[in-house]
Amino acid sequence: MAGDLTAVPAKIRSLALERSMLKGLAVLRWVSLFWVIGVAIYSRSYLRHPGAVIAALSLAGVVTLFSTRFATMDTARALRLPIVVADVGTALMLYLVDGYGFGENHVFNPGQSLTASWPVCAVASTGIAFGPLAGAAAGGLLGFGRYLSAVLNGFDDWGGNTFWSLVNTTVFSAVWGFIAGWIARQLRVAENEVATARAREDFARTMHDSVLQTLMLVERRTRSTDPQLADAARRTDRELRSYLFGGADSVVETLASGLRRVVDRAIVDFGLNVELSAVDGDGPPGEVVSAVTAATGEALVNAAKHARSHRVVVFCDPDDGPNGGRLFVSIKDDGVGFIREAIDPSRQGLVGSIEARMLAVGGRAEIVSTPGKGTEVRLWGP
Amino acid sequence: MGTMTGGTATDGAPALIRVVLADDHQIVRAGVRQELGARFQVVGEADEAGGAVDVIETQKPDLVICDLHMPGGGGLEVVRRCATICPIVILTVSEAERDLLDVVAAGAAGYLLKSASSADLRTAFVMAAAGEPVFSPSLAALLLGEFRRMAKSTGASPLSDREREVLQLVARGRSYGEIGAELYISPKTAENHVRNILGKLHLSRRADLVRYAVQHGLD
Repeated sequence: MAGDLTAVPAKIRSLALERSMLKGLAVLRWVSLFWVIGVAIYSRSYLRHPGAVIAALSLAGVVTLFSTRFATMDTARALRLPIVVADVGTALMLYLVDGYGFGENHVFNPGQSLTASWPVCAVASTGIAFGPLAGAAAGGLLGFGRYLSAVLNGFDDWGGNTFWSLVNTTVFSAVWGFIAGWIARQLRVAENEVATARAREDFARTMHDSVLQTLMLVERRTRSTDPQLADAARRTDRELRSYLFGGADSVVETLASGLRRVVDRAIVDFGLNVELSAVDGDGPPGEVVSAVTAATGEALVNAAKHARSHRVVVFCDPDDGPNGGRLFVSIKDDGVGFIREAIDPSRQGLVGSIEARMLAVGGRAEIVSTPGKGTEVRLWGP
Repeated sequence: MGTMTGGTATDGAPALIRVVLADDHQIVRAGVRQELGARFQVVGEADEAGGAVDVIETQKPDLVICDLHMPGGGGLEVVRRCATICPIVILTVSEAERDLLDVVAAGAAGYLLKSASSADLRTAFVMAAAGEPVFSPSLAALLLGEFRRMAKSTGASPLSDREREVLQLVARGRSYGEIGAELYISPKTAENHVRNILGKLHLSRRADLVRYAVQHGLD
């Protein structure tokens, strides 16, 4: 159940993120267009083929108009292949016309080109639409476009400076395309997480109280008369809680979510009455979390299967000790207790395993038990 | 606190504990009523905070069992207005909501989880009606975190070492009797420590309010 509810399907995403990024690029494209028109007017006496320049700039104007319209009104289409190809094609065309339109020795000389920020926009929108690798490929292609521009300009003196200038353009365009695609992807992931958390909060605020109340009541009322129904109610209650409060889709397990998971499993699988009593605080590193949650899970299995407990309290304080900073976890049951030397070998293994898990991460475990007075498993982090 | 007005023990049996139930879910009130057993007498019910306050003021019960989330301000409103009349226990489905601290700071006798067994609930209700603070371990853990935050911001811990020790043992699931045995004190002393801890929470919240009022120029 939790898994079904956590993801926000891509199809119903608003594309608001992409829209705002493409809008930013559209503004940059318009600035580039006017800049390039200014460059063409200012440098008109240096133009070899003014007709080609006027045609190219007109075409760039049309593409700018359409890409702006799609970015603002039909973002999904702006992210499709034809628009992206038109964008990259226009950048390539401007490179070519820069070499072809101007007189010789224009390329690689200080002065304004006819491309302005157009390649930057084209490479970024490719990355946003198709990911980092496509962005990098578009960047590489436009580096090649600059080479063709030089060829069309009649340039053939590939010495150190010009060669490295070309390499610089190619590599930086490709890296920029990759980074733009990567950032867009990360933002999408973050947006998805925020949307999921918001949906969960809305659901929790409006629904959880009455649903959890009812499930709890069903479980209480049917505990003795209909154990199967009670079990189903308990399971659903725990699934709902883990979705609402437990970070069910979190990739990295935190101390709180790890303990909640093993506590929920003990409640569902063994019908154990377990209360998790956790003090706020920063959790320890991942390996310690794994060891502590596994050891706690084993202690709970022990409490349910062997100790005949009714109630268990799992206490967790990530900031224990006289000066704070040390993790302490206690698993206290009200079961029959035991004398360690007298228990059967299978339980010896379980007890040993709890201790070994904590030792392996530099922590320690202590098991205190008195027959008739329950057992407390104490775990300390490193 | 907790005057037993619900009947005189004429035949040697303990007097009935008069209870008001406040919960916006009728089905929950019915469930709790059924589980209370013969020791308790429900003298009033309410499904929102204002109605709960009215019935508490009229009935003057020995104990109020109140949900945290209800229309009209929830359990917090009921506690703010009625904590001096009788003990109020918050019964909730959620273990560690920070709102619970506000309710306890406002004077609730404690809070209990609806998942607790019927026997545990009944025992806790009897304790609360007698004026004892009823603390679930998760509430004690919330308080430990809260006092630690206060200590970090003021540079001095509001709790004595012994109080901190007692609070941690409550958070680890010990009863007052077990705490007494472990610390070589009487269960009553352990309970008094808990009462003092609650008093310090009240004081700190009141100090926060005063500080806020001074900073914001409120009378």
